[in-house]
Amino acid sequence: MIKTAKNTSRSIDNAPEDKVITPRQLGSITASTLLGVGILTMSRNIAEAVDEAAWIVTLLGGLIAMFFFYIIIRLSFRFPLKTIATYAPEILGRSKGPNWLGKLLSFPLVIGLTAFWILTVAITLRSFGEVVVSSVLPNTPLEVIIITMLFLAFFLTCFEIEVVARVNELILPLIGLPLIAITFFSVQKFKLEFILPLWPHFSLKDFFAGILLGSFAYIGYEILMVYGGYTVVTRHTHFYNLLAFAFPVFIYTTIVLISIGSFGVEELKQILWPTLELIKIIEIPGVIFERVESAFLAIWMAAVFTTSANIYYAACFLTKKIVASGPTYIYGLVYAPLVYWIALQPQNVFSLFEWAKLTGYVSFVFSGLLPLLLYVLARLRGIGLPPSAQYDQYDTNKER
Amino acid sequence: MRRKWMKPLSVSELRKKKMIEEYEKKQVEPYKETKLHPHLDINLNMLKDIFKDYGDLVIRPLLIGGYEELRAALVLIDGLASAIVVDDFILRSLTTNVDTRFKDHLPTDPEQLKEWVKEVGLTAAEVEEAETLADVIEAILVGDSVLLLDQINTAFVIDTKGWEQRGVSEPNNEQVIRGPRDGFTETIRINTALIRRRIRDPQLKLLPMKLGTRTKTDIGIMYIEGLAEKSVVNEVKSRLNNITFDGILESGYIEQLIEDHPWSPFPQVQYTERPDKAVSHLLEGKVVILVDGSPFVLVVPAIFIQFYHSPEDYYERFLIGSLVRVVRFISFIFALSLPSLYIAFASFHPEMIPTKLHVAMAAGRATVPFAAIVEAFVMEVAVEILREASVRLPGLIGPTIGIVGALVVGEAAVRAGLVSPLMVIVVGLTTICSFVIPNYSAAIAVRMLRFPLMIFAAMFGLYGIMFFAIIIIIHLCSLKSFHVPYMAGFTPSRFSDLKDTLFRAPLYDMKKRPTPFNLQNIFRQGTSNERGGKQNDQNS
Amino acid sequence: MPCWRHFMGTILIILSLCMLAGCWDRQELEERVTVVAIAIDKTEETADGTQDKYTVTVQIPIPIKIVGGGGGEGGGEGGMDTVQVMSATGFSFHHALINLQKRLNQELFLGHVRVILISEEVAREGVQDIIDSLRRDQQIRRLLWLAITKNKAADGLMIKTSIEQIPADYLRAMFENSSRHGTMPGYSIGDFYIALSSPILDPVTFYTETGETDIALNGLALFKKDKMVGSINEEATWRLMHLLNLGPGGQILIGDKNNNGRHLIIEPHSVKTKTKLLTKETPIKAHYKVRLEVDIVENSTQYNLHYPKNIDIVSKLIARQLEQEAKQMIHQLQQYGVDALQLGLKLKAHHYDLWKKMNWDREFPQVKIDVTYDVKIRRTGMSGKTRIQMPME
Repeated sequence: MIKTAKNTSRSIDNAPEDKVITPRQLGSITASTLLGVGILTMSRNIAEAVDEAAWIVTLLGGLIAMFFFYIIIRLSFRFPLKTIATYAPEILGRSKGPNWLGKLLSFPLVIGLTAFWILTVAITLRSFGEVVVSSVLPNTPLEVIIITMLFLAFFLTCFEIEVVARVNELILPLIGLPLIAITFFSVQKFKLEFILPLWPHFSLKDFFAGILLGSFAYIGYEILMVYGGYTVVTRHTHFYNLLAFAFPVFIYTTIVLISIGSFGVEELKQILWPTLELIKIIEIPGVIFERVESAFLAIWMAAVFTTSANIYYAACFLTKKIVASGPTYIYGLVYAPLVYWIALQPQNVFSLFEWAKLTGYVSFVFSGLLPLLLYVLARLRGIGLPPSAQYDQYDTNKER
Repeated sequence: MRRKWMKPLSVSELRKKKMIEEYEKKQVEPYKETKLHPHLDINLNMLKDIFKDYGDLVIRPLLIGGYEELRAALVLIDGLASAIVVDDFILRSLTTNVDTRFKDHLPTDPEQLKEWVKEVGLTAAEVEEAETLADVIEAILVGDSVLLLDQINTAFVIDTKGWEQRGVSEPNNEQVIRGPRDGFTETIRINTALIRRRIRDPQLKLLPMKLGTRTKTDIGIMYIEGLAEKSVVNEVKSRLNNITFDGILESGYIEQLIEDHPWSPFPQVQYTERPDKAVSHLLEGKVVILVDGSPFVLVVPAIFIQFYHSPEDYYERFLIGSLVRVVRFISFIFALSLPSLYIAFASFHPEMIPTKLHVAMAAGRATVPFAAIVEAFVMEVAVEILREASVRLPGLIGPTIGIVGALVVGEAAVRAGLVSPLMVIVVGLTTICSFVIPNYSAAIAVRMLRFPLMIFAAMFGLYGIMFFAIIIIIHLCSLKSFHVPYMAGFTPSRFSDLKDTLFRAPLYDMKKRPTPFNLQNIFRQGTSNERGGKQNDQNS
Repeated sequence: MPCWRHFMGTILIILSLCMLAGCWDRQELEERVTVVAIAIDKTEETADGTQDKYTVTVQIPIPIKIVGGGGGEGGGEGGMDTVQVMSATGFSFHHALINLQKRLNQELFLGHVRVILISEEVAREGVQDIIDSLRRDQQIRRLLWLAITKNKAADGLMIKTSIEQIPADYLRAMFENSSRHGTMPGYSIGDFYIALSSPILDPVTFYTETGETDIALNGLALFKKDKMVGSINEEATWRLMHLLNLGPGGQILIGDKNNNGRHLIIEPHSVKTKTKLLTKETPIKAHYKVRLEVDIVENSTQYNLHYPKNIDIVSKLIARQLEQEAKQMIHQLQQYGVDALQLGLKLKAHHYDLWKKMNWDREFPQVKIDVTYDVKIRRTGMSGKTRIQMPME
């Protein structure tokens, strides 16, 4: 018996030839990437700087990040079917003909971006590992948690970019709905006196430190410089994406607000993982499960997975575009040991927090300044599609 | 296929390719080019030679109208051809009737005779001409009768197919409380008729095809032109054409040969025994493949959620339909994860269960000598064995096995302290939940995935469950069935598609067809916002 | 490549089977010694002169003796038969646990601890080290009940009850229901943590009295920093709850207990309190206005509540007594210097600048606190007069 009938349409290459991400999927990528590891420690970090005003600062930081995010979508929609690896040289150098200058200028930027992403993934995985090991699986080696998460991220790199989009769209409700439920349930211990005064005394320096910390919590949206080009642009796309950004901003702000309202600032500063502690005081009457923090961590694992895997995929995909050959998973294999090594560098939680802060500062360069620079240059030099030409053929039947 | 990053064809692959080519060459009909001879005897001899050792071959010489010079012979296989048709509409009409009524006009010129036999002589409904020996052989083998005339190098193939067949009866596997009771049978003609009876639309097309180099099984591809995507129809055709299997015994063969991801536990082609279900899929723009000899027709493309739908969901009122779907979804989750959740709670997160239950569970497990994972594994495997045993046993004994297995063995195991009472509840619930899934192959996927999930639960508790769940999600998202994303409905999502997934919107609200299957003609009812039925009421 | 993906699955399974060999955290339910309640006492002097500070007593349910748990043939006695009580000493709380672990066949599991009892003796010396140990332990819940016992805390674990199978469950239900029905403020250990780490809040928790075989709620224990300084009784606690807007509290006896049974028992239903801080004056003045809705449960006074006039009189009577009691309670608090009223928090929230300037700890005892009750009688239960009631003009 010989089997010959086989589907011939299976493509080996991960490179999509078409715009394969729907606007909603891009929104899901944004939202689920942003909802990541930051949620656990953010409220303490910011409260350390600005006390009761932490939630306002979170909101402000979110709005600032949202501005840069908008720049990034505008930038990436100018270059359909391209990633930053392709359009950065165009913007920086000559747009036609051999473009050595552009390549030379953009090379360190793009490599730096990739390195930054690798670092972010490592920090994210390490933080997650720390939480898991310290709260639910105390005897499991940290390395095992990191390896399993890394495996998931790597597993995703074996597939096409549209699979990434689909996974995000499917997982987002799985993260979003429990988060909303938790936000809803944790109001029960809320005490108004704890969040007042709205604006306690702190120095201007602390304020800016807080704002910076607030915007660091929204790390990872710069991956749209990779995914954005493959998105179908309709008149909904911008809206969906800003909405998708607003969702984590809302969730983060509410969680910071409720954490302060439930614990008070002084207590908050003493808790290692405030959000986890917040879940401990949730009482869901009549429900068979008592302490939901293990369940929350399991769900939250999906959030960390989307964050780390999306960024990891972006890094591998970008490298593939730089090298201009090979399937994505090869780079997934190459980077995996690197991420693992970096993730094990911080000695303990506190040095990890230092690393995370450092990553935050670097993120300001790559998710804030770099896209802003590129966008302004592209606008000035008129490179890429003008906004009016970005829209794809809008067909009610085909829009999915 | 782009072959970057793949090594060039290896020696073994080359050899395989050569073998396939040779095989195909051998299969080419040796008689394809052989034309029929004008002499009857030569033709008959040739046939006798080919059908050597054919105990059931009948060669009936006859004289048309009783004329000596008009010799002919009827060749058929006994049992495949209907005796009534052969007697009444071939033999009698050619020999007796002619003698009395067309005596004077009986033509002697071969061409005229041919005309005459076809138009007047044969009173059977379907008559075709065959010129090559290959056609004749094929016709005989499918149950047609072949009339060979002397001095004419064309044979008449008369449709006399008529063997014993099962009548239309209620489908066993997909039973509904409300809905039609007829089911497909093993005969493709009856099946196509069952579908055609329901769709009286000239756009309903049926592409015939013969597959299996030896079995030559009849295949029918049915679709509604204008609804089904052309690319999907073409893809189905080309995949079917690529099949060079020697025997197609069941539509399952076709399913396995054309599915996109053979390694996936999830079914990517749906089968159904119910004509109403097939029709509803046709109306959504899908393609239906019918296979002779199998009461199961295939529906492609298939997406994840449709395996959890039952035709009843649409026949019942929408609230009932939605509720049933929610129940089904919950049982899907339970069937997949209940044993692993038990393991996770018992071995990793006892703080999550209430103190009283914790103590009760500890008491139940106090005498159990195994870890929770072993306990769960043994029980689940036992249940799988029981299930298989009760399927294989004859009707009356089947349920007995279930009772003996579940009640007697289970109770005894608890009494003996081998398993905890809660474990029995978990296993029982899991089994019941897996029966709720309407599609057997989808249920098997769940049963299959339960075991790795249990292993991961035993490694990392809830964390492990989530780990494997994410792997399943990635896998599901990467699947495609005939270019349609497997998770269509959820992702890529679209509001009008979501109306028919986990719940079902009222019929009047489901104005659009599900998008993934159909891009041309999306509206299935008028675009007015009024409710169809209600509108009519107001008018009358 | 497709083949590649398929082999990933195989690799995964092999990998997982290898990892299964070292399921690090797998510990079966029955392999844990589940502690449901902890009591901490001061160690009595030992003969050999050891330096141990605490005696920690734990209550462990015996699963097989519990009804419903498989093996339990004809089981179902409640009380002490279903649990094992063990104790160990140590120079700190955790050290005692380590000592306890030495004597156990399985690992201690504190995830189901619902009640922690600390004896007053220990509490008066400071609980910082105990709380620190509890906070660092991830198994310990944030929603468990912390109570101070007047006598030996371990006696609280010895209570005899047949109502619940596990005595600790009885205790837990007692605390839980008291807070659910609004008869006690539901201060959990989480609130204790918060108050302990906050510079303006003073920790407050349950105060109980253990007898030989039972335990009774007896008001609140007041802490200054981590040291217990005093307690208020149950009636005072209810007044405190009125002022804090926490709940109606329990039924109140109005009138003199000794006055030949001429008394009134009322059941408060809902309480609404408005607080006003008058910051202009020094020392600061606080004014509480409590609006209480009550039902009459028992009436043996001469007032016939059929008449609206009498209702007025009675409600004024009630208000006067409640005000007096509340002031007594406030006086008590100010004497101890424990800001259980959380006035400091209010001050910080609404008058931040003022709060920053003053030292609240020193300020609190001087604050003038005024309480007015506004009692509304909603239901009297009966209409008309009883025989002992005299007609009133």
